[in-house]
Amino acid sequence: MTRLWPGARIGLAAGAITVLASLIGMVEQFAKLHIVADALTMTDILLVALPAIAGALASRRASPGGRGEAISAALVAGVASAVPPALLVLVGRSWPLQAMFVNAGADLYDTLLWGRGYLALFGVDIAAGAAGGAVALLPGAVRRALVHAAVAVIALGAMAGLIRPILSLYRGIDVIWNTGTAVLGGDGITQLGTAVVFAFVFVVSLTGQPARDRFDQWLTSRSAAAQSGTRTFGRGAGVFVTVAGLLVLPFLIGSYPIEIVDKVGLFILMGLGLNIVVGFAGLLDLGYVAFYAIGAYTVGVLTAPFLGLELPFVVALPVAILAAIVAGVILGIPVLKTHGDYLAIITLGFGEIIRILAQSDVLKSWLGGAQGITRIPPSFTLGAFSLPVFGRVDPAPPQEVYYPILLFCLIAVYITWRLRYSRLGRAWLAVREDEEVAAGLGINLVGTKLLAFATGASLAGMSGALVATKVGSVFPASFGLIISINVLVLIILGGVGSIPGVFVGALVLVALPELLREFSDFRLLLYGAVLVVMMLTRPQGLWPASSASHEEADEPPPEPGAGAAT
Amino acid sequence: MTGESAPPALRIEGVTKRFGGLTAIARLDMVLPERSISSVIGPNGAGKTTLFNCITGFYTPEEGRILLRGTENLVRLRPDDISRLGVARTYQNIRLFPDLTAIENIMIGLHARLSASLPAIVLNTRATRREEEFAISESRRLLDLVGLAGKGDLLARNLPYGDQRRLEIGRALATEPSLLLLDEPTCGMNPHETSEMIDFIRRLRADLGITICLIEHDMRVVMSISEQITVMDFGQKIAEGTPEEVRSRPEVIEAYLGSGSVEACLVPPADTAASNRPGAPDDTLASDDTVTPDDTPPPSLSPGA
Repeated sequence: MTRLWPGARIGLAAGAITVLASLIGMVEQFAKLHIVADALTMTDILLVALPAIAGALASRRASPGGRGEAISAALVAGVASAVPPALLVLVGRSWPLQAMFVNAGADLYDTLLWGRGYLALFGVDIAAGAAGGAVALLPGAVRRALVHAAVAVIALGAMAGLIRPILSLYRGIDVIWNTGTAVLGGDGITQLGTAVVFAFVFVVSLTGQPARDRFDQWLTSRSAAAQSGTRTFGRGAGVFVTVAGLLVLPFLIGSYPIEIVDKVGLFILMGLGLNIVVGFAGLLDLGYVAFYAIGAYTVGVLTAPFLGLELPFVVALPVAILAAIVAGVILGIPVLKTHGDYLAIITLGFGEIIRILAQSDVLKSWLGGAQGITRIPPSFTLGAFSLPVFGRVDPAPPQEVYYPILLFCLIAVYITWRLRYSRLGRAWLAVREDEEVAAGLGINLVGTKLLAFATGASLAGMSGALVATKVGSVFPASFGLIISINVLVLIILGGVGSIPGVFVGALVLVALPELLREFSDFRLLLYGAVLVVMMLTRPQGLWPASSASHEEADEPPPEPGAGAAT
Repeated sequence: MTGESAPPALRIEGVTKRFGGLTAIARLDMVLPERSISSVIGPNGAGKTTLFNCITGFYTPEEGRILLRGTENLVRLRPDDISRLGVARTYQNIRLFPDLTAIENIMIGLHARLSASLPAIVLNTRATRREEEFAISESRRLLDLVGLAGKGDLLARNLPYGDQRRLEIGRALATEPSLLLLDEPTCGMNPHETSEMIDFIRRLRADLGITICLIEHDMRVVMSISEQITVMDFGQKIAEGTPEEVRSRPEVIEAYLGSGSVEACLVPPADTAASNRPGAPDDTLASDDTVTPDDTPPPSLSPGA
């Protein structure tokens, strides 16, 4: 009995998550998202994946006791994971739970029982648990390949709705169009597509391990190469292709996807700025949205007809950046003596003050109060023109604002990258690691921290200025605490202090919820879950910061943290 | 007291530091002659590290003056200003930047000797590039000097204990000090490493012509290296002089040598609690090295003796 308990506990936890997902409406919502056309919805995957994961965890935990023990633990986990949903159905059918939980209706119970009965629920969960347990016992490379393939199928299926409009841009090119429509059905991927994608990713993952090792090696040596200024032809060509690709991207993917890219870009800009403050200098700033708001409002006031100024964007932008920097210094001076939690609380207050000021009636004649400022002209317009393959294109606003966003993102990456590997970047890191020692080495704490605040603020100001022209209006309500939290979370997710980590974090945190509309109701829940899981399993972030390397490149530095985490 | 015309490297006059009701240092006078090697010794809690903290500006003494090269009063200056005036230090419980590489630790020490401004860095001007090249080569030279050649790309936390001590000295030297304060540089080292460290400190003085003052518990180190010893107890100077003079003073034997901990470098004393840092990287290693057979106090010296 006692030997069965660990597996049962894991299973019960998985079952509890199923119940939670059911009661908050996730199960119902995900049923609308087809992954494999006419076969699988996201709900099916959720209901199978949870017991399967429980089975895998239970099996791995029991595996020291032998294969038989592991499989029986997985079976126990499968059985246990069916218990909470079964109880929910049992209770729900006798008592009117719907008074408390809107979603707890007959449909939900039918879904949980797979439209048949308790036997089906238990049968599926036991089978899933056993399958999960069996996969966990496979050799590492095969196991990983299976997981990669499954994730690829699910991701592609979930995004099918988004990829189809992009595909329709390529109706003229038979190869792309025919392959595309063969893989992507009306909803989700076709069954043929599933097989092809699964097999392809499985094989690539299985055979790709050496390539990944080389990639890891390249990662660790990249800063060395950057430092010694190695400029090979391959590097230059890579840069050229990337830049060219980025320049035509809006027309490659069409106007709705580029809207998401714009949003990601704005968050990258803010993330890079906050990464200087929090990641480099270690100053926890929860009021970062204030600088974003200041940038946006400055552009709004100066360029919109609201006050009759109607200055051009090129004039308003430097003013916006300057205003953000001044605000950064003003905030910086009084809070420099505080640390950690206290600094976080003060900056949190500052962020709210700015928002409330913008909303106040006192400043209504300048800032528009709750009604905000509207009719802000776009920052950049492209006329209609012709492209090969695509023919005549008439860019939509999201495709136009993409260019200034791209430009400023590139500038911001360059600035942060230069600063990181400089005297100032090192001073920031020193202040983060040990303020007292940093001062003892001749680093002026006041100046160093103010510079971090001001640089971070300037990037947020840029982002704000761009968002004002992108949306065409500014309202106090769009500058809430949640923006600061989002930016902070994306830094933590990507890896505190890591520049590529900002990109990864923004893609995961901003792009994914936009791409998967069905998830958007549960966005904050998923943020929280992702953060908890990240902190437990990979606290250094998805793409951790690396230290500078200045020694001879022939001895690759060992990075013990990176190896242990994967 | 030296009757020469050249001012001493450091002159401490009547310095008093109190924490609430506790007087950590009471009216202390001390002179460190130019290019000398001196030691401050005394039992745990005598105020030795507090004295270092007063000199480097981490604490502000209530009374007294600390004169660098006879002119500059360090009292009330900020630590970074004092560092730029040429005072550098190491810490009793090694305070490196553990998540940065060895070479980055040294490069941070170079901070005040570099001058690139934010715009210059962003624009990557020729002066910035040249300065950065200097920073890298100078750091390599310093790594070499402290015996860490080729280890620059290791994270500081992954260095062995003795290397961490040496790296900390290298980082202090990067500020180009004229006065170097070493807080228990041989703490946790085995006899072999200790004698290497003694040679290294002597060489530093000879090669760089700097003044060195150390806090040390290991009497073999103190007696072999120091030209001058200051003995502190309960915040007061109870003796001063050459090793021979100090060794023979009855009050020193009473207050310090009698405590039985002479031969040992003990675990962090209470007077440095403020500078204690949780999670010091190689705690276990340190204590392993510390516990040598002659560490145990002689049983005859009970508190009443």
